[in-house]
Amino acid sequence: MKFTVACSELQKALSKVNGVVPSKSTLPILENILFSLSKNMLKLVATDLEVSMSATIEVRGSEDGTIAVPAKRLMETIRALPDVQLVFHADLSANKIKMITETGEYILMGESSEEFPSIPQFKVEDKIVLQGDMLRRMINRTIFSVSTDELRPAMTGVLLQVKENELRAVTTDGHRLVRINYTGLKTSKLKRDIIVPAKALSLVAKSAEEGDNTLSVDSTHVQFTFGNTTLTSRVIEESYPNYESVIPLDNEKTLTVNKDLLLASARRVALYSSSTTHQIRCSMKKNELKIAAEDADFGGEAKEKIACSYTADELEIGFNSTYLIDILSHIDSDEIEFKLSTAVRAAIITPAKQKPNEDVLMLVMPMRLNA
Amino acid sequence: MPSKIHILQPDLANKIAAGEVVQRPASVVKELVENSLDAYATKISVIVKEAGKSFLQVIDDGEGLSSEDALLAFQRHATSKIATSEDLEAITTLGFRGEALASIAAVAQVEMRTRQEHDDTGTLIRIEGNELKENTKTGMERGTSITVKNLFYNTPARRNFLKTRTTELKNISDVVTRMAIAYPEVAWFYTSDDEPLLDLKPTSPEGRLKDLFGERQFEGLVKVHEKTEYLSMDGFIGKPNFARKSRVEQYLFINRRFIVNKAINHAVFHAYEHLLVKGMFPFYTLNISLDPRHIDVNVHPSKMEVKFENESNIYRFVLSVIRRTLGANDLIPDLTFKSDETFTQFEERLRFSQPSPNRIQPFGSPSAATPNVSRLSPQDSFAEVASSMEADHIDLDQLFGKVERRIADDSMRRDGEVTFPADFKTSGTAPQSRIVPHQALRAAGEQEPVIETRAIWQIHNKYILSQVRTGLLIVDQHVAHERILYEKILANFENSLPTTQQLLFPHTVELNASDYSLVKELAPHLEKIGFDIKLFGKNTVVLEGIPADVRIGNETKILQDVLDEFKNNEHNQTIDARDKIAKSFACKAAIKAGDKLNTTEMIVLIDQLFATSMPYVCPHGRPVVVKISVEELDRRFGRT
Repeated sequence: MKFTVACSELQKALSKVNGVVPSKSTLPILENILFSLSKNMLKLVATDLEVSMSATIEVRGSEDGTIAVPAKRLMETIRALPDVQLVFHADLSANKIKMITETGEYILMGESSEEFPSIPQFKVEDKIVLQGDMLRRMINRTIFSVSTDELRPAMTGVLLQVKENELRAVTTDGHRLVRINYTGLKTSKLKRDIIVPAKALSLVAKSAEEGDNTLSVDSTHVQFTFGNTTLTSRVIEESYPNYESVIPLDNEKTLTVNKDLLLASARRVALYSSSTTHQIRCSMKKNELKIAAEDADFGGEAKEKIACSYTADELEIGFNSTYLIDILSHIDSDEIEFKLSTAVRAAIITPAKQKPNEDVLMLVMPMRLNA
Repeated sequence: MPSKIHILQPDLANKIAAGEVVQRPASVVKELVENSLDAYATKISVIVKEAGKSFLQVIDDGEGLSSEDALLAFQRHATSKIATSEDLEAITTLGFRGEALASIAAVAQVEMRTRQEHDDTGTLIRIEGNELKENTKTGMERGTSITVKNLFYNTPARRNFLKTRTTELKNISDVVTRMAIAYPEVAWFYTSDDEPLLDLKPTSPEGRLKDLFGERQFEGLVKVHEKTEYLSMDGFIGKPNFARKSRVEQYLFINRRFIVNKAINHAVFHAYEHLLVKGMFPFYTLNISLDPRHIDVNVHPSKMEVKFENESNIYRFVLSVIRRTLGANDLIPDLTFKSDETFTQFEERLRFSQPSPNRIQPFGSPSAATPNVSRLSPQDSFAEVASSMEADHIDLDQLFGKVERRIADDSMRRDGEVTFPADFKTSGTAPQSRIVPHQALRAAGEQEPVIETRAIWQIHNKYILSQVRTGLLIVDQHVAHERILYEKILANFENSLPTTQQLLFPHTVELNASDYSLVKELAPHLEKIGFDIKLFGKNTVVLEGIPADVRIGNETKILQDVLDEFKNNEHNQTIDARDKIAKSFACKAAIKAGDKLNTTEMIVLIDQLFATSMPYVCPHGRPVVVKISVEELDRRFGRT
């Protein structure tokens, strides 16, 4: 197996698939990237058995073949090289790889391609086209509130629902929830809802390209295709909790506040919250929001006042400051709106003004305040 | 039509009753030995052959019986031990049911020889299967000897159920050992197939333990003594490093009666907390004495169970006494090879601590938290060993100084617990005591100069070394800090108000009926630790909020854990999950091996370490402090 390629080209492709390579695995072969050369097309494949990713680039091939290359060392070498032409030559019988530049020669030991797990065959059953920037935006806005609780697998992924020209993504970890709707899509619908693992989507967010990207689904997997890159992931075959029923519709106390002010203030006050509970209290009265925290463990406390628009009855409500800060930093709107009811019921946070075709709703469960 | 129901023949009725009392040779031994003890015997011999299956004899020098009584004794419900039902309320003897002899006689060939002090002759009675075969006069010493031959000869089913010889013999040995522990003032002689297994002279409780378990094991024991108006507890508990993989060496006595009680057992075990590696069980022999009116022994014919008037109080009592005893004793693993230590060396160590009464005065007064702590009494040898060990702390005290101040503003101490070696505290109340040991040293001809204060070093940025009088103290800096932080965090948990994180998706938890009523009962407490629970009826509860400091996920499991914790130990007030948090937080936040410490930091660390309730092990059970004695160093360098 032999080909010549510009380092920068190879690096670009490698950096896409490299994200899939598990940092530690009981299966050492997964720490490799599979190189397959057919004429002038080099295909790179990486997998962690849940998510696989492949990228194809054009090279000047002279001898077809396929071999698994140790990802870490390869990646580090390519990164360290200037943009020069590189001759990649693999002795497939000895699994020995030689990379030659004008001035250097790098030899590394690969693994036989037969060792590399085969990538599941994907049969497209359903397909939609999504804009790359929208996809990226949707993922970045939702993924932070995915649960890491392996006992509730459904919540470790992002729920994607595609109805008539409308895409909806939902994530929750049981304490907060994000729901984003996009309307006005020039796409049809998906026959069923899918739950995509968070890792797959964070890779998608990195690789999604401007313009059209396809999302296809078969019975067990979902596949994203952007340009010469594809990402295939197993979908989480669980039923998603009934999130609609927990979003209150009758929260009548409305508070509007400048997001940056509140975020900065919450970050400062949170420094004084208990390191185990992270609790901050928000007290609101007419056009004034007071944020306070106290740390009983080490005896510190902080409070700040922010101007806001609020006309309902006075309310005091506690939040986990990490949740609140997370949510605030994932809303890009100058003004945000809280919809509240009581100190123990869910608080809804939305941008005061939604972007066109976008509807963002974030929800956080309060912490009960004691005394 | 003939009636279906008829009264059983006496011999059949007796066989049935015997099933409860006489289960195996060991139960016969137990019943007979109890009789001997109730007859104030001072010497008891137990002779068994073929593990008691063919021959079993108990000889005592007790009061004996008259010839009339001897015959009566084999009647069912015949006893000298109680007379009225009031007596049953306050049983002071080991036996009281009046069943044992009748039961044994129903299933074996029994021969009894007995003579009272003032009788001219003794009586010999032979009974087989409850039939009197012989009743004659015989000459013998005062006392009673009962021989039981061919046990279960007339109940083959029962005989077939007997275990192997080894097992049955072990059961008998267990019975004798328990009795021997509980009655050290009695001489015991025990043989199996003509091979003497035990030959114990009357002695003190300490002496008996030494005889039974050997000097080495005894050195690993700590004396327990506590007395209140209601009850008193005496005995010994093993240091953690003497713990065993099974519960075999756990002896619990109530009014010197061996019993099995899960709650008390748990209390002891719990008191050890993290001192024990998982799966290890501490050695203990404890006798709880209390007015027999407060307990009911008449629970089961074998009398291995006792019902307490107030079990949870006893649980708390045992827990706090054991905890305190452990906290007050030097548990630093010593790197000496004890087996090599000659008795003279041992004595020498004792001599060093002669002036110790000064130090071991009660220290309860300043804290008032421990009004009932009786200190180890100086006159008994064990206490002297303990205090000679504690003498090390005096040196530590001198090394690090300012201990009193630390104690004064020590806020980590929990109520009712002694949280640091006694000497630290006494040094505050009796300043002169700090000088005394050194005078004693000189008096004892010790050449070693007074230790240079602040002698403390760090090696490999990992261990802290410091000189103490009897050797070298090595502290693992990471685990030491871990222990300090762990206790601090737990204290914070206890002091801070609970916060509840409301759940977005309330968890419906279906419980079984008993758990449900437990939740109902515990509702206020669960709320206090941060749960928000709604009772839904039909054994279903809805979990709407969880303690905020608990990790996301498996909320239901946490509730279940808390309930289980309550079931196992209704007195535990913390939740396991919190303990885990405290542990992992302490581990992460503690200084690491590799962090360089300056002298002040080291001193502060050691100061804080010895202010914790358990400075010797980290929350995960690893040792924090290791001591190498001078003797050991000498030995290593061939100086001995």
